[in-house]
This record gives sequence, structure tokens and C-alpha cells, in this order.
Amino acid sequence: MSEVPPPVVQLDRVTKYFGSVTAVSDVSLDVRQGEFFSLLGPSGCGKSTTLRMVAGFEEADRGSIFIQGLDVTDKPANKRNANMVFQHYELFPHMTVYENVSYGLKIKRVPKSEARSKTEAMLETVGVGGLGSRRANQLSGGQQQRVALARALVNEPAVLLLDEPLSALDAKLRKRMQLELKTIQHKLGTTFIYVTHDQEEALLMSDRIGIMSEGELLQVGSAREIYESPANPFVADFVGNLNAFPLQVDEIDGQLAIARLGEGQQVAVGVTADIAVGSLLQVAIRPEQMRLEHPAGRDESLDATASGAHGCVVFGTIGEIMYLGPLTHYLVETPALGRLVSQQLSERQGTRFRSGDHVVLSWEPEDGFVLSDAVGDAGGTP
Amino acid sequence: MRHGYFRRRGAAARITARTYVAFVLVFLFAPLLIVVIVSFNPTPNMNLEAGLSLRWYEQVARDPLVVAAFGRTALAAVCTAVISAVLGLSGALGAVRLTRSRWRTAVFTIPLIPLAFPALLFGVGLATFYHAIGVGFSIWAVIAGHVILAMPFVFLIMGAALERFRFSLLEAARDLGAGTLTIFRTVTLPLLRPAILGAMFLSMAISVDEFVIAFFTAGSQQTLPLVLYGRINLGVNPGLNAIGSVLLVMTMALAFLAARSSVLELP
Repeated sequence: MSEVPPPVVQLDRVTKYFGSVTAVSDVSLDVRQGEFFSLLGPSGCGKSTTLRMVAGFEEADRGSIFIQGLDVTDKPANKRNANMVFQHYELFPHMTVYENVSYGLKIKRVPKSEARSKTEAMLETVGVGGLGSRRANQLSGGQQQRVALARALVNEPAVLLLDEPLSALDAKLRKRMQLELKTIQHKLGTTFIYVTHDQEEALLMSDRIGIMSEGELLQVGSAREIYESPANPFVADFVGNLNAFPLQVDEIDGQLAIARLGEGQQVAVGVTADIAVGSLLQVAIRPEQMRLEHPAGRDESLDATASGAHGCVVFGTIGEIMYLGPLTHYLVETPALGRLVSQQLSERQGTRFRSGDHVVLSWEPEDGFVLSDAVGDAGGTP
Repeated sequence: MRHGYFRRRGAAARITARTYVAFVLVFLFAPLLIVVIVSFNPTPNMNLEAGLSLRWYEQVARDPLVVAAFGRTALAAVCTAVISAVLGLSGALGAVRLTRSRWRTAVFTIPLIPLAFPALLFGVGLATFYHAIGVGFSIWAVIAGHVILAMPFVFLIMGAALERFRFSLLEAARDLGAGTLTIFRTVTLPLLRPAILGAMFLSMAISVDEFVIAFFTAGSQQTLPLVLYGRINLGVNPGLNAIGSVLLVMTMALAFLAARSSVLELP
């Protein structure tokens, strides 16, 4: 293990109330030097408020915030070594692009020649080199986005705070800017804290992601950790798609809990805690982990299942088929587990499957995971 | 849109519309036009064939009473504009940030009261009030009254501008390191400048030709409209027309500037 660099931004049990509503509840977080950190969650989960507390626009009611080891909890926004890229850019409409970007340097009384070279270099870096003399309101959305980025980055902040900066752009431009943001971040080595409600965006761009819901930070981890081993049902459901169903344990075999569903059907799932036979588990499996086959081709594996192997097999009938371009979602009605979604790569010439086909869903026990051991929760998700 | 309206309504509407415009033109501009024409007339009696002359302007310019009144009128206009702009801007800036709707309504309504209040009663009341608190009548007493009169307009113009103002720009400036004063100087003020200028020109226009309040509170420090009124009692003199023309040009220029800066440049 290499040595972990000291955190650039540190939140220590930060809490924020809006009236009687707890917007941010007891959030503790370390953001490392040079890291692209995303705060991900649905709207109203407190991610923007958390970011605004780091920026200094909201005061924390409890807890402390440190930037580069310095306690900034009581410092106003203009005294913090952090800069923000706003959701609606907030470029000054009465100034040119150049004046916008050099604004922070002018405030800090950076010598004119130095400010000029820094500003011009930053305009180049973000790809709006020739636009310095334009008015801010004569720019396209993508250009405004770049200027807003340059205006913040030219101050060389310890951390750059981005509040859903791409949400106003159309899908195509958004994809491009995602890559460019990542490239710029890599090039400058600046620490980014990025707020988004778009899980795909967070997975694509982030070194680490913090998932928030109802003011609480639920899990912090790399995209892979969050996706593959979600800490709780909310995270599992929010990041990616999920099939979830309750399962009664019929048999324990080492680290595997097995449920027999009759007619050669069974589901096995890895468990860590002590689980008794007969207890009810909430089990989840991602749609892309489910194989989908016609029963004809699987006769021998059905036998294998019956004779004590641990594969997961469920029978069902295809209902809706949703074509998503490269992928197709099959909604499969299963008598044993209710409706399950299986995601397959789309096939070029139509599809092997039609609505009404009898099919077999199968997956490996290690692809499924237990959402909660609490029996009481079992009925919560159909 | 206006064209379409007239076209649909046909001839009858066209006639009434034209009548209205003609009425305004005749009763608003004809008297003003006569004042201006006569002021350039060389003879005391109106005689359109006598050619042009600046005689009356020279006469008026040599009249120390008129010159002093002109100075006071200018002083009152400038002071009214500056004071009402400062008060109106700070008031409106505070008012738009009020979140409790009851307070907001009160703060937005109270400055508008002078709009509906009869100027004559206000003038009498103000004079009585000054007398009661022991403040002598002077040009400063007039300015205070003019500020009250101009305030509703200033407040309305500022309020409209602030409704559209993006306060998040102030956050952006603060984020970039600017303190409160710097933010005001570099962001708030430049962005509100059209509205502020418009409000100031309008205040000046209101002050320049205001008569009633000046009449009751100026005391011996008469403004131009008071001098004009005083001279009328001595009989119609072409010099009056010169004073009137000066007042007219000042007011119209200010009103034009006000309209240009606040209405035409804002969107």
C-alpha cells in the first residue's frame, strides 16, 4: 500500500438545518489531493448544500470544515482557497470573457502582466483561446461552461467545486464536456468536488464517489466499489438498475444461502453474517448479470442444479421488451420471484426472444448480493 | 400587434384612434409650441412676421432673480436625484431580500403612497410640519419634499430592475475573493447602472418643474417655476416664455434621458 496523501478537504460531522428540515446530517468526509470526487444523489439529498458549505455560501450549524488542514468553518467564501463552477455559470454579463476570467486575479492584486499570461494560458487550456474579447452573453452554452471553468481555475484553488455544471447542456455536448473536464483535471492536478444527480456521469468521471440521500452520506468508494458492493439498498438501487426480491433460506452451505424454488429452480447468494435456515433475505441482482435462454438449450444444466450445484436458475415468461439501442431490456414475469429485468446486448437481426416466450434466467451466486438481513424489510420491495 | 389590432377593428376604430392622437397633439404640444415661438419673438406683442430674436433670453439672463432661481432649481434637481437614488436603491435592495410576504408588501407599498396623495395637501402639510418642528422654509425644505415625490418612481424602477437581477452573480464574485464593497462596485452597480440613471433623470425631471411643494416650503428661496408664477401676476411678459422654454427643454431632455437609459437599454 502506498502512503495516502493528506486530505485537501475535510468535513467533520457537518450538519445543516433549513428551519426544521435537516438538509445535511452529520457528514464526515476526506477528499484527497488531486482526486476527482463526486457527490451523487437525487435532488434534495443535501449534496449541493454540502458543496455550498465547503464554498462558504452556507454556514454549517454543527461540525467543522477544513481546507488544506485549515479550519475554514467560520470563514466567508472570499477567504477560502476554493472556487466554484456554478450550475448556471454566473458569468458577469457586463464584462468580456477576459475580464470575467481575470476577475479573481484582479481582486487578489496579481501584477497585470502575470495576470494576463495566466488568464490567456487558462483560456487556452479550457479551449476558448480566441474568445477573450467577447461579451459573456455572446457565448454558446458550452463556451460559457468553459469560461466559467477558466474563471475558477485561474485562481489555482486548492479545490474546485462544481455544482451540476453540465446539467444545462444537451446530451451530446455533455458527453464531450465530461471527457474534457476529466482531461483538464488530470492535466492541472487540481482536486475536484463534483456534484451531480447523474449516476452514469459520476461513475464515468470520478476517482471516488460519495452517495447521499436525505442529508446523509451513505457510502464513499470508487465507482467499482459502489457499483459492485453497495453498502445498502438505497445505494444499490440508485447506482445502476437492480432486481430485488425477498428470499426464504432453505439451506446453508458454507458462505452460501440457498433457496429452493421448486421444479429445479433455485437461488444461491453469498452471506457473511450468521444466517439461520428459514430467515428471510432481501436479495438483489443486476439486470446485466442475468443470462437469458430458451429452456430447450438448458436441459442438462437443469439437472445439474437439481443434483446439488449452486447456480441460480429461475423460469419465467417474457413480457415487455424494451429496445435501448445497444442494449435491450427484457421484462420477465417469473412465478417464483415476480418480475425480473434482464439486460442483453441488442442483436443485429431482430431478436431471438419474443414477448410470450418461456425462458430460463440464470446467474452465478457471486453476482447476486444481499441488500439487508432484516426480516422486517423483506416485504418492502416486490 | 398594434397594427393588427387597428386592422381588425376597421374604420371606426381608426377614426377614434386618430381623434385621440390629434387631441393629445393639439392640447399638449400646441400651447408649448406657442410658448417657444413667442419666446423667440423680437416684439412684446406676438408678431410672427417680425423674425427671430434672443432678446428675451438675454433679458432673462441678466435678471439676477431668475439666475438665482435657475441655480436653485438645478441644485434641487441634482440633490433630489442623488438622494432619492441612494435611498431608493438601498431600500429596494433591502426590500427584494425580504422573504416574509407581509413585510415585503408593506415595504413595497409605503413608498408608493405619494403617488396617490394630492400634492396640494402634501404641500400644506409639509409646510405646517416644518413650522411645527422649527425648520425654516428654504430650498433644502423643498428638496426633502421633492425626494418624497420622486421616491415612488425611483422605487418602481429599481424594484423592476432588481426583480430581474441575478443575485447569484454576487455569490460568484464573492467566491472569486471579492469583499462586500468590491462586489457592490464591480458587479451590483455596473449591472444596475441603467436603472439608476433612469431613476435619477426622472427624479430631476420631476423636481425641475415641481410647483406646489416649492410654493409652500421654499420661502424666499424661489425656484424657477415660482418665479414664473410670480411674474405672471405682473402681466404676461415675453420673458416668461423664455423661462418657460428653458424649463420645457430641461424637463423634456431629462425625461428623454430617463426613458432611454431605463427602458430602452434594460432588456
